[in-house]
Amino acid sequence: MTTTAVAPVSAEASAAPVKNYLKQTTTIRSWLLTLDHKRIGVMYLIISLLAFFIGGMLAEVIRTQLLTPSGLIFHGGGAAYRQYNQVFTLHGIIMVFMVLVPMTPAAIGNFTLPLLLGAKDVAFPRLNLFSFYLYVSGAVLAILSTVLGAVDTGWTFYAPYSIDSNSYVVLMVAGIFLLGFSSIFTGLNFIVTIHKLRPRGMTWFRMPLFLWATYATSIIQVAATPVIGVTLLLLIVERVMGIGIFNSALGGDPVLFQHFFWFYSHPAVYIMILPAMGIVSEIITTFSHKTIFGYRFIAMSSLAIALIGFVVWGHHLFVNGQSAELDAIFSFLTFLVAIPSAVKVFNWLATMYKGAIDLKTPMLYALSFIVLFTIGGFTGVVLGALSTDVVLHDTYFVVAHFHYVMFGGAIIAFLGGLHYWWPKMTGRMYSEPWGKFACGLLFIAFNLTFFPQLVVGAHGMPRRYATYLPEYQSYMVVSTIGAYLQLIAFLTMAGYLLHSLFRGAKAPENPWGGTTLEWTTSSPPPTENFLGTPEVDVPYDYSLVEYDPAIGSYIRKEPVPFAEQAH
Amino acid sequence: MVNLRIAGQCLAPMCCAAYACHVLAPGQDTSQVMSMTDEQAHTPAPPPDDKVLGLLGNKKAPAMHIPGAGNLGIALLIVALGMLFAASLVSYLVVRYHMHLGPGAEIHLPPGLWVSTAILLISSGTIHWALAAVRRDQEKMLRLALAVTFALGIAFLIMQTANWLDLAAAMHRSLAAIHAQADVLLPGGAIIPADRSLVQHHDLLVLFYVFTILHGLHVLGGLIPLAVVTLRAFSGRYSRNYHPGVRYSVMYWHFLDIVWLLIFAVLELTF
Repeated sequence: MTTTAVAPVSAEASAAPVKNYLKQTTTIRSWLLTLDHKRIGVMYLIISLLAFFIGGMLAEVIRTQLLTPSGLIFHGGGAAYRQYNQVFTLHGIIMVFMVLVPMTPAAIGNFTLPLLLGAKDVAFPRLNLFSFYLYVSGAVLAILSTVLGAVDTGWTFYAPYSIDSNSYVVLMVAGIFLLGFSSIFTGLNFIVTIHKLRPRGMTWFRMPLFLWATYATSIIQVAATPVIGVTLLLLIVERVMGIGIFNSALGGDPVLFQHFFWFYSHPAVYIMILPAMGIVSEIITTFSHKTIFGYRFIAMSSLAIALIGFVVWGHHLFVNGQSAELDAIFSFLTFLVAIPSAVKVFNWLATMYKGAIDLKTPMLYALSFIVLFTIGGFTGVVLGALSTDVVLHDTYFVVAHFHYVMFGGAIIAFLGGLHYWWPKMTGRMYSEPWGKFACGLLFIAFNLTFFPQLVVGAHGMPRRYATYLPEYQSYMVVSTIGAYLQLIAFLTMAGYLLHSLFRGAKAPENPWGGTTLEWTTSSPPPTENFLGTPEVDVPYDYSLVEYDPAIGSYIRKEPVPFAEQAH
Repeated sequence: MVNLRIAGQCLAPMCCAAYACHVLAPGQDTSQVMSMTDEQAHTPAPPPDDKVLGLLGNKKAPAMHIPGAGNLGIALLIVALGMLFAASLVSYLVVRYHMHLGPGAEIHLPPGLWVSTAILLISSGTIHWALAAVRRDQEKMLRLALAVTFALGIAFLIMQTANWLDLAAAMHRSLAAIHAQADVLLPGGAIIPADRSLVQHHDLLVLFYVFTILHGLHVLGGLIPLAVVTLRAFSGRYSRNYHPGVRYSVMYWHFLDIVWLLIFAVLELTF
């Protein structure tokens, strides 16, 4: 994006260098009560990474358990198997509600959204901080319920398990209720910000694509999340008052719960994947040093995915007593999602075609995303087809599909975004060789973990059991080895990222050659983000940046004042 | 699509958070004041919102004035809460559809619901009157209309409480009847008596409480910001050109009204 009108730094300002947002103030209180979107984003990042660590260790427990057919950790029946249920339930709840939903939209989104917009902050900074504390409170309730008696219902809380279970379901559900409202307010804030805070020159179709993705995500957050709020509220009422809403033993309707749950939770997977796709769009064009191919198609495909995503929830209920006519309709609508998703993939590939591709770490993550997301997407079409879904329902095929989309998609793109914006966030460069090593290892380990699960799922191995038939053991061992390798990859990543905080080279303004506005301010940015008011023209014009080996950074070529540019 | 301007002015919604959107756009007051014309200049400069009701009292809030941000924020809040109430009504209708209420243990909706409905409808009129008044710079009328609306809001909650107490006796009766013939105790404390219709009457009562209390909480959540707006009106903060708090309250209050009419209609038709 041509960025031209950043006001020249005045004489006094250059005499007293502007402190960046990390150094502006240093007290704990200045962080905890901050209204700075960048600090709030960093706090989201820290907490969701902690949650990711816990969720990941639970996954390692699951994989260790499944090394042997009778179970390596939990064996002997009853109570032990219930503990296994608790482990995979917590893994699911933490990863979905505390990592995937807030990580990319709230952590990366908060940090980058105003920067990409050229704004000082989001529209409602206090609401932003309020969302963060709702998130923290929800997480605290969830931890409390885990300490008192961890839920064992599966992350979907299906009735009647969630009504009969004698674990602390009410507390956990109340926590998720708060997490949901945190998500609603974040979405509301981002929509208003994108509507009202675009700088001069940034029309809707000149916005960076990450903003389009965030906008589509926010629509889902605002319109779908309240439904799970009501559902969980009714679940609480049902448990506390002992009445029959979802429990068929009391005259309730368990399928109603599933409809409501998936009315939110299916769009929720687009809350997780859409911003991830936005990150990939930014990374691909930057590291191909070539303007994005099919800008409007990518922008509109985000909205299309969000809108179609609202009407596909019934594909989770193909075998749960839904009528055949509804099944067919939902199956058709589900196939429709494949179209905008494929539009994005083809546009990314076309962007790279004849580009000057620079295989830096973020680009490797973006390429991994394309491969893994495509596998996840294709297996999704298999599951969206009625006849195959009846066979594959509740098998490891579903588990593997979900992980290909959510981990191979959302988390891998998040890691790409983390590496892409890490210099901007921290002002430090991480070690490029170690970054490439960790990314490569993660890619191999990921496929080792989940590809065998696709195979055993197709063979009929059911999900969520603590034990399995001996014939699956070789696949399960490979899968577990993959999971351990992933742990090594993540620990490596944590190592070099933390190392970079203390020993990393100072990051220049624009280390990758990006054209969006965040690369026109210092790394890390000052509290006000920009020293002047940025104005923008056509996005993704790479003829305007060139590498300057003297400072190791990309610089803008011949800045032409905005007013003199041809329109 | 691009101009997602939600026609939310006539609808309006909900909790303390509604107010959050107002308060959370810091500095709106100050910059608006600067654009005031001379005749309004005599009104005392409103203190920045964050000093009045800052959630966290951080005085270093970036001073931003974003025209239209508050309106859009409230409109989106109304969309979110609209989904919340829509989902509640759908769940109620589905559960009600599955019920087979036999004779006996007849429950009637308290007639007081008509009174509270009337109160809420009138309050929707009075708050609109407040908006009309502030648009014509009729300060006394604005104060009166806001104060009356606030009083009507309180009256609505009092009336609803009376209705809830009214049904409490029926609730006790249905519980006692259920306990009298309880024969199965499910894990989690749920009871299945021989006469299922008794249980379903009981469930219906509980759902009545759930949805009316859910709405009542949103009224309560609207009264808090309304109180602040009313107090500000009394300190002369609003004028024809500057009255965001009044506008947001109107949007939200109308929304509460429409939601209540829907809930009430559904209850009357299906109870």
